[in-house]
Amino acid sequence: MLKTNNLQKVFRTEEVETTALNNVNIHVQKGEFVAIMGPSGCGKSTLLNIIGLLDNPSNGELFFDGQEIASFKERQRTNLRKGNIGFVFQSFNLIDELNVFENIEMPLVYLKLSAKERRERVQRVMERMQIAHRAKHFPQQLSGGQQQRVAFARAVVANPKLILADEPTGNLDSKNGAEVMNLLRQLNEDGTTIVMVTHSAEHAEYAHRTINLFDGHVVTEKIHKESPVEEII
Amino acid sequence: MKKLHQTIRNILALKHIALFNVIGLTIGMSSFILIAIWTYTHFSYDKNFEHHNEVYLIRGMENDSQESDLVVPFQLAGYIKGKYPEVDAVVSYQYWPDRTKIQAGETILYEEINATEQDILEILDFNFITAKSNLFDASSEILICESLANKLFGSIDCIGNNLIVSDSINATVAGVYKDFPSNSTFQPTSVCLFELDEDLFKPCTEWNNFCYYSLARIKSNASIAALEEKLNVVFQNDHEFDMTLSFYPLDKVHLNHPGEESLLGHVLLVFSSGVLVLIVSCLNFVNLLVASFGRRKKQMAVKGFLGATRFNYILDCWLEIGVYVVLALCFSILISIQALPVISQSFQLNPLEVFGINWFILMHIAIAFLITLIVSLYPSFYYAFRAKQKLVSNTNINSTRPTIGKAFIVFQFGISIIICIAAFVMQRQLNYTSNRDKGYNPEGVIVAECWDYPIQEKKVAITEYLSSNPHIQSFSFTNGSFDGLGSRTTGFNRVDAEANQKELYKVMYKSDEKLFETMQVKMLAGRTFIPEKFNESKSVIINETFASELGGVDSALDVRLKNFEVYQVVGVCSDFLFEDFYTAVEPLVIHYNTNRTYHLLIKTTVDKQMEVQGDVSAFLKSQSDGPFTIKPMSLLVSEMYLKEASQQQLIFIFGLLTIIVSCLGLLGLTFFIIDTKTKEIGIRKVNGAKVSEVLMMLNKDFIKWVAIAFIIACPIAWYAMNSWLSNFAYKTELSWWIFALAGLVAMAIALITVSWQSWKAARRNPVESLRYE
Repeated sequence: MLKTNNLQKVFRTEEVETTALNNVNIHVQKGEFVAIMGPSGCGKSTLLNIIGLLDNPSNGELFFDGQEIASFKERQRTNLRKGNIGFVFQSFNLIDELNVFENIEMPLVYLKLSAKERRERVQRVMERMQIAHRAKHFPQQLSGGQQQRVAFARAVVANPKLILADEPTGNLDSKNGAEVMNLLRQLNEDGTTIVMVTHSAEHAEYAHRTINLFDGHVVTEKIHKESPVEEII
Repeated sequence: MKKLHQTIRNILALKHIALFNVIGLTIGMSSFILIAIWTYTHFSYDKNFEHHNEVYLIRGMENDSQESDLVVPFQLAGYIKGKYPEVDAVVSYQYWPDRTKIQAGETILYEEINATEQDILEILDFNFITAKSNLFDASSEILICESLANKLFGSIDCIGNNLIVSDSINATVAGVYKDFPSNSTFQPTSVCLFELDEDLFKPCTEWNNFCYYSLARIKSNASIAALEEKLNVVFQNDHEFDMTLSFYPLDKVHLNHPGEESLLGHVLLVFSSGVLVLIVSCLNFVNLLVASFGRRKKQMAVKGFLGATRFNYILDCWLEIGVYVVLALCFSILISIQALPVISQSFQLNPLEVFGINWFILMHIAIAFLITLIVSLYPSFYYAFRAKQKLVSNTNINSTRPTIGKAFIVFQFGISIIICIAAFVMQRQLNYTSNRDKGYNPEGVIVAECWDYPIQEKKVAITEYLSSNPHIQSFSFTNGSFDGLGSRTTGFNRVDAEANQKELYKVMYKSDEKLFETMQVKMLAGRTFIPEKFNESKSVIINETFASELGGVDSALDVRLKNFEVYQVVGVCSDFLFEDFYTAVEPLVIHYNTNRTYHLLIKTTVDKQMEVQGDVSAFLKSQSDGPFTIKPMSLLVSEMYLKEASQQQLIFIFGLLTIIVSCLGLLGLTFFIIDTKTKEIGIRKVNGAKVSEVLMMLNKDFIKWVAIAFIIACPIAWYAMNSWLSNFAYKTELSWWIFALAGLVAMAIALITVSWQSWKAARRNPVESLRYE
């Protein structure tokens, strides 16, 4: 599903040039659950942003479903991202001025679905995430765990093929963290491909395999269990 | 000093906001100062006289028509003189001075000489530079102003020098006075006694000739009402005039001249628009200043934790406001000094002469101080109370800001829209005055005004010249052009009217037979003047309005009219405008008269108009050195609306400035709003929003505010402009599209202002946006 070829990302300021990713080659199969680990500043989030089409690589190739997309323009990236990729962040990134229902509904609005369909889909996903009773609440009125569940609901409501989670448990206590990881496993078992950045070795165990990054390089890869689906890119 | 450094550093941290603040405040301050000075100059008229509150003009009001005028009979001053102890002095003063030929050696000038009486020196302040003693002890004496002395003699050292007035009258210079200031109603360049030449200066001295001002100086402790009552009782016993006399203060004449359209409303309207610019710029400043505090919440929180008190916060705030106001003050002084000559030139006012540069700068400082006080109130309160409270509780300091900011923007744009609508409507009315069917065709017509030109003596030569010019279609000798035919001084009644029927004053116009052809005025019944066929000396043509008073167009033809003599109505012409658009067409009597005609109306082929104007001007000059003016009729008509044109120009400028300041405010506010929405933009983009969708999300709020401003502004503007237009007898309509256009212009300007920043924000990499706090 996802493949990178010598992916490079260099950040330049007037004085400093920092290489965040250096010739990164990874391969994620459809239906796989992959964890990315590494110390702070090693390039995990940068890699996630690039494969999530939020950022462009400086060099190298990026394939999504067999299509080379590294050179995509903003509009093409947006169109590809819509409905195909869902995001979950450490800091939840909910919009304070929108209530739970509206936050979850947002990706469907941009997919131009009808109001009726949006309502039905949001309702379904809220029930699945057990937050339907909080539909009218605003993010500040929810606990961290609940906020992350809303973020999950928003990520999955458009039925994306791929979910990218950037330290989804980073702001949660262990109980809520475990709940989130179970949610991710559940989603993966339902067929969604997941790439997760984490600092926690325990949570990485939930994945089929862990890729370790250091100073922008892939240093090791560890397989925890067999991937359910094989795919040729 | 260190505090000042820190404040400047804080200001420079948001350079563009600092720039908006300084520009906005400078625009507000300089606009207000200039318009305040302009207004003050209008209000200062005639107050430079030492005894200005003791000087009055005598006003006569016809009891029938309630029309009042300051032009009264010559004999009135003499009638009052010596009768009332409250009246220290009273004189007649020539209202329509001719430009009379004055010769000093080789130098010949045509200047206005104001004939009056000796006591004028007790009434108006003549600031003599040099003068003999016992002025006006001889009737041949003349007093001249400094500039005239320099023109005639090259210096002011001319006491005792002789002048020849009107080729034959010998006058001696007895005094030279400083030119009257520009804010004086009376600005005589030379003054003499009526006795210098009674034929020249006292052409109409009967009680029914209204040709002079009567100026009086009345004791300051006298009761004007009691004096008027005494005067009217005696006056109405002695005379058959049904007229009430009153004393009209000289210092009110400029703004409220009886019988003329008041200038006061015009001045106040323009002043208010200047005040609005100041209010808008102050609001804008407050808005952006408080918004910028939101960006410093961390700095403020740290200060709070380290023990800053409310007083410290307020001091910080004042210091920052002080820096801005001082900067704006400096720029405002520079701009205003540059703009003053333009104002002097455009509006024939010289504010610096009234004010003086020191007062001008002092006034600037006073206004700056006032602005500082006004703009300090809200930010100080906000900084000291709200900010601290919010910071400590670590909630979003800007949570209530957008609401207030939006209210400010709605207010600013509301005012901008109102001023825009006002400017549009005024422009439309001005266009209407130039383009409306006036009942005659001014196209290609040029007017030569020859009050002081020997037009009668040169008539044969002029007629011959004009007849031979192939580009001249027709010409007519008349006693006025159509920009005001004169006073309603002639009473006409039907010959068969009952004896007790009141004579109503009609406008009397004199012309030769070619008027109707030259001006293309239509005849509705009867005939035009045909002097070669009829004896026209007792023939008149009346307008449609008068005809309807006499029973209709056809029956008016049989009517004989009388005033001093009996006249036969030989024709009825269609109504045409001979006054401004404030006045409805009045009954008009056109008398065939070729002797008292001082105007020349010339119909040319349109494309040759300027060429003919030059040729005629050169010809008239070749015939006599007498003064005359020659200009296109269209210019003459537009000059009738100079006041409205200047009003429109000023309001347009203030409208533009208000919009500029509002845009600066909007630009600043957009910056802060986008700042608070950066993360939301990132989240939306991550969830599939396109750039256009983000742009729409950001802009729709601004559209909403301008729409609200528009809804509020429309009824206010409608009411204001409806009142303004109601002054005109002939006026344009308040079309809906003017409102729509003003709204669209405001909307377009607002969108252009915000879209650049919105576009930048929408294009931003979402990764950066999400990282942004």
